[in-house]
Amino acid sequence: MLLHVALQEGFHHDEVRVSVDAREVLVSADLTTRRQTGYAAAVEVDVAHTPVVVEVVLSKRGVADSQSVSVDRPTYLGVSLTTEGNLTWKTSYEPFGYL
Amino acid sequence: MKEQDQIDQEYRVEAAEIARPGIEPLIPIIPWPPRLRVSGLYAASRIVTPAIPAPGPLPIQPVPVAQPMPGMAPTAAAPWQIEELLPWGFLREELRLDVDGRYPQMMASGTLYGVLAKRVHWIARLTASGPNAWTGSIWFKDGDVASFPYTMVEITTTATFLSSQRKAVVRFSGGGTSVRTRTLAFKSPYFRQVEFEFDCATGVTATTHIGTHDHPNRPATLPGETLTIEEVYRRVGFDVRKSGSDSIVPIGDAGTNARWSDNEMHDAMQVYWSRFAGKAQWSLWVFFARLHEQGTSLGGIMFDDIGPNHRQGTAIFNESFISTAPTGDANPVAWAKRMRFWTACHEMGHAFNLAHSWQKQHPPDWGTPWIPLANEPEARSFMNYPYNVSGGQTAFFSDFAFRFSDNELIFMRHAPERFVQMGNADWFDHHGFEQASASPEPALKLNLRVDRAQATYQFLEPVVLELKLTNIGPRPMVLEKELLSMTDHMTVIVKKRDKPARQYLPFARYCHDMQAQVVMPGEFVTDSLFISVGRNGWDIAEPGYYTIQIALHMETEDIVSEALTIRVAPPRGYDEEFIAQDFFSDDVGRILNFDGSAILRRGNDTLREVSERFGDRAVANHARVALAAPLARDYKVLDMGDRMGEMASAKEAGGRLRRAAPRIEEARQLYTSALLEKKDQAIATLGRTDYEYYLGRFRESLMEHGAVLKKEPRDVKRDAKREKNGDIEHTMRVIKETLSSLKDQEPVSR
Repeated sequence: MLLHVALQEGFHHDEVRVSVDAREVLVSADLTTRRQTGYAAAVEVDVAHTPVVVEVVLSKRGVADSQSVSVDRPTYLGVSLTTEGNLTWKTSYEPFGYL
Repeated sequence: MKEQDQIDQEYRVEAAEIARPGIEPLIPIIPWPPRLRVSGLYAASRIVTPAIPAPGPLPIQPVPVAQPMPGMAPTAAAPWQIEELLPWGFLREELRLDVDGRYPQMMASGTLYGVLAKRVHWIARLTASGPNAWTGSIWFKDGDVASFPYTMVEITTTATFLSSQRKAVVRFSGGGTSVRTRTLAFKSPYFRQVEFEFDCATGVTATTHIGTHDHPNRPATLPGETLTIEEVYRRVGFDVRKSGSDSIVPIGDAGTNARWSDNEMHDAMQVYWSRFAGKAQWSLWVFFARLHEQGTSLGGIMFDDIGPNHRQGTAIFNESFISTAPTGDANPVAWAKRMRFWTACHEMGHAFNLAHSWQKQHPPDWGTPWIPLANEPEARSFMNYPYNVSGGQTAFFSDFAFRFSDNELIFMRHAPERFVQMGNADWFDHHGFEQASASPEPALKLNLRVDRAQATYQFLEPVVLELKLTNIGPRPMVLEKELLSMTDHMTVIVKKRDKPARQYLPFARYCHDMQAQVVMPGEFVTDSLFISVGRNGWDIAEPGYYTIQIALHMETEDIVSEALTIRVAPPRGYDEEFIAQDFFSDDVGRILNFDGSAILRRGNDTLREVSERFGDRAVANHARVALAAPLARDYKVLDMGDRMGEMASAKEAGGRLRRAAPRIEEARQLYTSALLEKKDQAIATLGRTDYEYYLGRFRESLMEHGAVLKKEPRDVKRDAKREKNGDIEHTMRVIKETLSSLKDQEPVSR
């Protein structure tokens, strides 16, 4: 089943690692959100079971958080970084659109 | 006149419209008495030269005006209504009054444009204080705020159907300075002007208008109309024009995959946009294509964050998610068309430097907002994502009036131009005179010239420009005689390649008795400008390329010269590099600028060293004329004894003027080596205008100190005529004859 993980708002020259069930699926040494669209990067993962644990680590900031996500249908997970330095999670069953 | 009639008509229509905002009347309602819209742009301009009855100190602060007596109510002829001069150095003033019409923000903003490239921008929040009168405090200032201390503004407008008679009287107060009142004439119902160009990739249609009632999910009060993108931005306050003819961009320009990358779009913009230029301008390219290389998830993008001038181009992708209506939508075709229209307005908003509604607050490393802003995650604005609000896109469009939020309107209408204008970058870098009020058909042309085949200067050699102002119009022009020597009429920009531009600020302003002269068509006036050093320090010193441009501020327009590029060669050796540390000093700059000093000893020592060790170089010509001048005649020096530096008047401190005797023989030798030996080098480096001037001074000093030429009256008359006509060869011959005759006399040293 499709799991789409999108890194969206708030990233600025961040070193980012995204793992799904402890498997690294996205690594970026220098990730920045494009402010015009609110989009930084995305990865699509084919997962075999549900739920899965998605972990995002921003090593330079010392920020790490994880989320359990049900993937019983194509699922879109948006991850953003707030101005306070916290990660926020948004789940959708429609693809994200950027403008 | 036709345009004014049209504006007047628009006002009448608008007056009727604002009587019942947002509701479509079955029978047109004409308000009575008719209330005219007064919002829009007002402007005033003037030449900066103050009336100068007699030489005296220049006013640095605003000229004080009479104040009303305490308790005295102002009348129609109240003293504070006397029009005050703009603060020193300001040429042009604009007011944007925003109190009625579409989405009034009860704001006023203004910009004062200065002669020294300075400007002040202010914004005030207003409340009505009477019919056609508003008052408020100034809450935002930008630019040269020290010259604009005011904290309050009062605005009174004259509302009339005749736009030519509309005006606003603006009274500034507070800030511990005198009240300042200005009258500005109505210019436009819009705050700013902008132009759009809509281009499409092959096979793609631009969505530039919609029917607001085409989709059933809309506010109940939304007027039914055909709404264009241009009209959306007119309602923001822009006088929208179209540039070029909308053209087709061949899909081949996107490469073989037919999807567009940002760089491909940037390239296409440079080729197909009729207005493309590497500078800030109120102009925007809007491109409609099928897909971005990111795929269907990207509906549009303001792609232009490439190169030095950002925000000039934006794109909409018709085959992205914005054309896919939600399942079960009542009118999928209308939904998609509205979404494409909405996306175009949204992306264009980014080009006006608007952030997304939820991005108003952001981490400091993203940059600085123009004012502290709050996020507006639920805003029904073009800058919000419809599907991100509570209730999703259905809730959004059920309450969306095809507009921007109030904060966004304030920004686009009132923020400093450089924050909003497309392509604007660091102020005054890369684009020198986009603010100049140049006429499309100027009557005068300003040329910058140097007296040499190639504009290359030796290291250490000061740069003297020749300014030439030509009447290129069909009629005689009356100009001030000393126009080109009055640097307060000019903005002079010097930009070293890859460095920020600098403004040349002369050491002194000169007050001349105003004398007019008639310049016939084809005739010209000239003068020189010593430009290397001023109050900013040495603007031209290091080796490299420099671009120089001058705007001459006339009463009604600016005359902008073509840019002149000069090159300063590297030092010839270690000795030149070494002495440069002393040469590029303030003292030496002042001595060269003022043609000598008897006071600045260290600077004179440096110039003597330059004259002796680098005698064959052009800089020696400058050094020698500067050293010669104070030696050639009596020189008055203020002697303060040992009280120098204490706070007292010169008289109280026992200061006295002391006469320094001339050292005429030394002066003669310096002038001779500076002006007569290597004459061509002297003319090239000093400039023809200054060379003639120095020759004249040399001749005068010879005559003052004993030289007598025996001549017939006929010869005297002929010589005077030749000297008047600037015959350099003749003057040189006279000087040489004089020097020769002096050899036969006793030495005249005193």
